[in-house]
Amino acid sequence: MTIASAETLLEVRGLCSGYGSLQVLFDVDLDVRVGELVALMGSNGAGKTTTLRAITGLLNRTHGRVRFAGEDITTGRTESLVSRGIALVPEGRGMLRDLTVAENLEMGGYVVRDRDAIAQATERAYATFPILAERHDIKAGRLSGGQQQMLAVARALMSSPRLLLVDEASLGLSPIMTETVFDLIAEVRRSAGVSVLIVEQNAAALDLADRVFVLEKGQIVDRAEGDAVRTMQGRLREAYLGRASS
Amino acid sequence: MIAVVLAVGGSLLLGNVKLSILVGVAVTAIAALGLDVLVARTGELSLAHAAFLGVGAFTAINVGSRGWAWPLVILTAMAVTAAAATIVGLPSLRIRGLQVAIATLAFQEFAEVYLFSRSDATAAGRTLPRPGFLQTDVHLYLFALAALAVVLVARRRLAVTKAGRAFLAVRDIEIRAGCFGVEPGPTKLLAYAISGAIVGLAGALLALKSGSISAKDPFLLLESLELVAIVVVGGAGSAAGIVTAAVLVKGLPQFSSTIPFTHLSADRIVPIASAGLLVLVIVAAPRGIGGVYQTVGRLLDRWLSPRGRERPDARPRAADARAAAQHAAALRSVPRRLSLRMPVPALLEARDVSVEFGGVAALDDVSLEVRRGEIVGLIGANGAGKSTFFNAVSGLVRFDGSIRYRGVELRGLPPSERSALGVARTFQDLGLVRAETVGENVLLAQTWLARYDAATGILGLGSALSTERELRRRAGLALELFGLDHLRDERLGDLPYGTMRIVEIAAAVAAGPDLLMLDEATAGLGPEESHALGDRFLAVRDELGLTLVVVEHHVPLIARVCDYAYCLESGALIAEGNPETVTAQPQVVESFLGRAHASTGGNAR
Repeated sequence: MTIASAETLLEVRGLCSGYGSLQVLFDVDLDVRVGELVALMGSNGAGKTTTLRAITGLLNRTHGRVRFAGEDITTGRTESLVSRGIALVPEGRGMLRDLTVAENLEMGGYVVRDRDAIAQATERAYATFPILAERHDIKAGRLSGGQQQMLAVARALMSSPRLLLVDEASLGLSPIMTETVFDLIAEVRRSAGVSVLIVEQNAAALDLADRVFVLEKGQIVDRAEGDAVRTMQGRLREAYLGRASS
Repeated sequence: MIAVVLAVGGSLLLGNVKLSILVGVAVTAIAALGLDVLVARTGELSLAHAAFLGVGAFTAINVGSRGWAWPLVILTAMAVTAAAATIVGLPSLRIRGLQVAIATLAFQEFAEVYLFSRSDATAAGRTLPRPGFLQTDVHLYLFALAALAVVLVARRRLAVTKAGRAFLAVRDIEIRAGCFGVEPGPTKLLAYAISGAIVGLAGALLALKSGSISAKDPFLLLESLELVAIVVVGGAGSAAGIVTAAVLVKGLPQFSSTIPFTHLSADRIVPIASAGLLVLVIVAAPRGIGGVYQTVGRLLDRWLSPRGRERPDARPRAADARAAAQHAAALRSVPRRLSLRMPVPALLEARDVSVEFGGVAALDDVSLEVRRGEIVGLIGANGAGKSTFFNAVSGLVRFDGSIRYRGVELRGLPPSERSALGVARTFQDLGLVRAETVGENVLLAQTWLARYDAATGILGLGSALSTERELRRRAGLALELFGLDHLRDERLGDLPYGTMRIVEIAAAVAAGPDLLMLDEATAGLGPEESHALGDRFLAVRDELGLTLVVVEHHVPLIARVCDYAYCLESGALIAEGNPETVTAQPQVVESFLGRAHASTGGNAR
């Protein structure tokens, strides 16, 4: 694990949000430091995706503050987040299914004006994900689930973000593909120096994380850091994994 | 409600000229409501509805001037217009959206240039006598209001019957709807026919009002566009919004020839003002007037009960095993053809099944067997061909080879027939209508069980009502079985992903299949919920006698519930046997499980 510096990149304080009159998040506090990989764990319906949507402004925040690199982005527009350096890998991969792999990557670099930078980013993506280079002219809808997930990550990296938000990367992936995608995220974190916030219910994510927050019914109910993350599995099991994984 | 009564009551006090304008408004409102059936429910756009209005009106005059009784005149106008609309809808079987709109434009053009310039088609010189009870304008106006009320009720009925649900399914999940027994082609044509019949009613009303029609102004393209504008301004799907918009667009400009308190001529100002209004409404209220009504209603609700709605726990509730067994047992007894009730050892038999996509073999000579009452696991890497196999069985891709279900060859059968044979499935990326509630989706999944036709449904005749009651009972049981009954009225798309997936399984079970194929059943679920879902699988197998094929990445679940497992890699079977043997095979570990499972024996999650 790389040593994370103490500087805070993303700071969320007292975040409340929901859908219409339904409140889903209650006073969520969490933060991601520069260079860190943070896992937000929680079961189905705990509010993980809602947290990401509220952070990125896709959902109205009824209360609370979000700061990114020292700046208040609470009222920022979703579109402006990409140029600030935040990229989201959405749940369900969010592919443009009728566009090719190359075109999807291009979309990821939409805010980048510099053509050379886009070319470089594309090259970097193909180097990290060779299978995407091989299949660059195939429509994204034709890729297998794991390849789509790689494309989603690669696309998010095109804008050279400082913070990568990953929503349930393991969803619908075979055990081996989950491993591969997690390895790639860890690799990207190391090589590209991005900070990562992954949202997961798959306990395998604990192996990657520097710090962990546990979300339950819209509230942060547990957190761990350093070596404590490694022992988290037992606590998580009590919190929500339950008897099933035994 | 009070406002509506006051408006109608007040309008009766107006003079005859103004009442005749109001009849015109009712005609426009009915036509727009007819168009809206198409726009809101099937997502298709027609630019020919003014021409349809003409077909209805001229048909009414044609048959009415020959002395036909008025109910027959109206029914004939509706039937002829419905037929015309159905024919115009034919291209929608092959194309969608804007292309269909252009195809309807062709009919509008044809009607204007050819049909409406023929004296036999337009019944030139002949008049439709008003029936005795409609001699005064007040009576005609009341009659028009009654017709409007009938249309509103019919739309309401449509929404709670098989046809209305099928329209939404075709709009949102198109061919996948076939797996519920919805036939996309006939369903689309039915939507055109119903839309046409409603517009035909409006046309007949217009004919009754005028007696004879010489000018074709009300039937020109511009009027078609105005109907579209009314639907947009009113808000697609909102009857109240559309009627309001019809009053605003059609009624108000005609009430006064000058703008009140000024000397400006309304003729010149109104087009400019209404164009401005149109833009304003679309920008300020994208969901139209209906959307504004909804917002006001919500605000009123909150004002009346300020505490706000508690969010029901968006997760399935844990149900105890005995109750689950009871619910499952109560779901039994789905009518099935006698030949399908005979016991067979192998429910599903695939022989040398191959599927190709552009030269790449997605499935390569796969042969497998699913025995009755078993839970069979289908595992393999992403892209190995598991979903393709499901698609072949449910009729969404063509395949070579043979798939026999209860001895019946499935090759060549449309998806809807396979669902009637007793095959149900779920999709890895959800085959339900997200914009609808949980309850509606579970009703939709049972389409093949609803044997009544659209007319019976709209009229609310006996068989339709009793069938709908039965579907609702089954939906309730299936939702309870999966611990989802508290979420019945929630919009599906608002629920967490894992919960949506369980709703889809509950919907498939409600459809009463014999074979249930679940694609990535536990994606989005945590281990505990996966475990609970495993219990439900056992319950539906033991109590309902279902046979299950489960595509699954969650190895502990496969080990626990599956009697047998197959592993696919790159379209070919690489292993089969009991789950322990299969997951221990080196090839399976290498392509599917990975190193963590190799060391822990398949329990990493």
